[in-house]
Amino acid sequence: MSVTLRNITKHIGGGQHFLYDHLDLHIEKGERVGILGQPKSGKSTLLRIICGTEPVYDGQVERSSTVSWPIPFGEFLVGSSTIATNIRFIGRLYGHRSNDYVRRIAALADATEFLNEELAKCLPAVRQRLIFALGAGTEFDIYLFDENIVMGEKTFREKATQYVQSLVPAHGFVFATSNHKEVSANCDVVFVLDGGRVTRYEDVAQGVKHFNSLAKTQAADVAEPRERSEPAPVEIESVLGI
Amino acid sequence: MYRSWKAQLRVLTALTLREIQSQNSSLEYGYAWALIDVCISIAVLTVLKVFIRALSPAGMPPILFLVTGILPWLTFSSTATAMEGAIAKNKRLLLLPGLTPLDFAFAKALQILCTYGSVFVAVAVAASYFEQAPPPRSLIGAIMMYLSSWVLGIAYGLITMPLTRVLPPIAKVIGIVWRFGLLFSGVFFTITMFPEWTWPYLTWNPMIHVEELMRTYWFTTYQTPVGSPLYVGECILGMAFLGLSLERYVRRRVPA
Repeated sequence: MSVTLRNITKHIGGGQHFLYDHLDLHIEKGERVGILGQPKSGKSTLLRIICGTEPVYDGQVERSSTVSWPIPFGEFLVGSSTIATNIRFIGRLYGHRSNDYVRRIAALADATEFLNEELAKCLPAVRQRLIFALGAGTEFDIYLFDENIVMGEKTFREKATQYVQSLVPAHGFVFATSNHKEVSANCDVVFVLDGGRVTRYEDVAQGVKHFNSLAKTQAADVAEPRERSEPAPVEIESVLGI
Repeated sequence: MYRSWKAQLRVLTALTLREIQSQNSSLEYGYAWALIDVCISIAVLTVLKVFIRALSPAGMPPILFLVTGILPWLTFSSTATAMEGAIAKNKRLLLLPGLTPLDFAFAKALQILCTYGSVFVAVAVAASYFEQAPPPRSLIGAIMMYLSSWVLGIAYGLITMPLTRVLPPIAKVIGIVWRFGLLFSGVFFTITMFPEWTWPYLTWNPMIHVEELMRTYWFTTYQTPVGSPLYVGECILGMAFLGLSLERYVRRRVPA
């Protein structure tokens, strides 16, 4: 049960730049995987490729396990429908037709008492919890988390983090972020995304070290041109055309 | 293979139910409005038709004549035009694994079949009772023709979906074609009411075959001089093949 990406190449900016340059990645079920990358380095796109919602034309994706959508994605929720209807839709889509599924997701989202309420009339926090519960509570072999494992109130975050950790080793998860502290706290393996490729580190501390050194180099690269591009003094005569 | 078919069926069921639930969901009795909407359209057209009695062909009850013409047409045209809209409406759902744009199109087509199919049965039974018309000559034939109008709509939609994605102005041309389509598809008239020299041209349109055969299978008093089930089948297969090939060609170049 695994997901393997082979030789993935993807361009952005009308084919001018590489987002991924012959990228290879292998994830096993039961692993707690972190993907560390700078903002806009293609972490979210990589998650979409892993779950199969982003088409890949150059390279191969082999998927022998079921993969969740990147959590917290909740655009599929219909505000004018009740919480129960929204849960049932995802249940039908992924083969959970029983009422137990509805009850389990509602309990995970701490939303049992709002089951028959229109989602639009619920507090944003309920919606946030429901988004997490639908993603993490539906049966998949590998769960994907984009930027945050859990959002919301502190008590719910603690409960949800515990739940996610309890998914391993029967399931696995991939957590893509630029927050190395979260990766150190939650993952066993880390991939560092740099220059369109990923490097796998079995030792998370070593991976984080590599990521931090990259971050420093990139920060220096950004700062340098800024210094160079300080505006040259403009002579008032040239502006006024004298 | 079996597992993937099962998963596909699961996806289609979930999306179709969602389509049905979301229809007029902002109104009370939401889905009922979809049915009432169609019934009102038929009632208005029937009143018009009754006033213009001269256009009713001899031996066919006017309301039932209209019902057997307009319901297949509505099913065909709604399916053909709604498929592209369904993809645009559900674009956000493409971020859920296992869903493809074609799933939305087929789910919408299924929802239309459920809606118009139930209306067809209800209105046809009511009209038969009201006009004291005998039951259809061949019920299976009539059902087959009704389903053919639906499948033709899917096949037509499969062609227009990728075409409008590559060339958006083509939607305008398609809109003009639709207006003529209603007149020349045998919805309000049988082909025998057109001059005979026009028949070879009119019979290029597969929908006129569907409408003609529907009346032949329904009324004992009418026998179509042109309807061909084989031609309908050929059109469905040819258009579906062309549409799916176009979709595959366009998929990478112009994403949904």
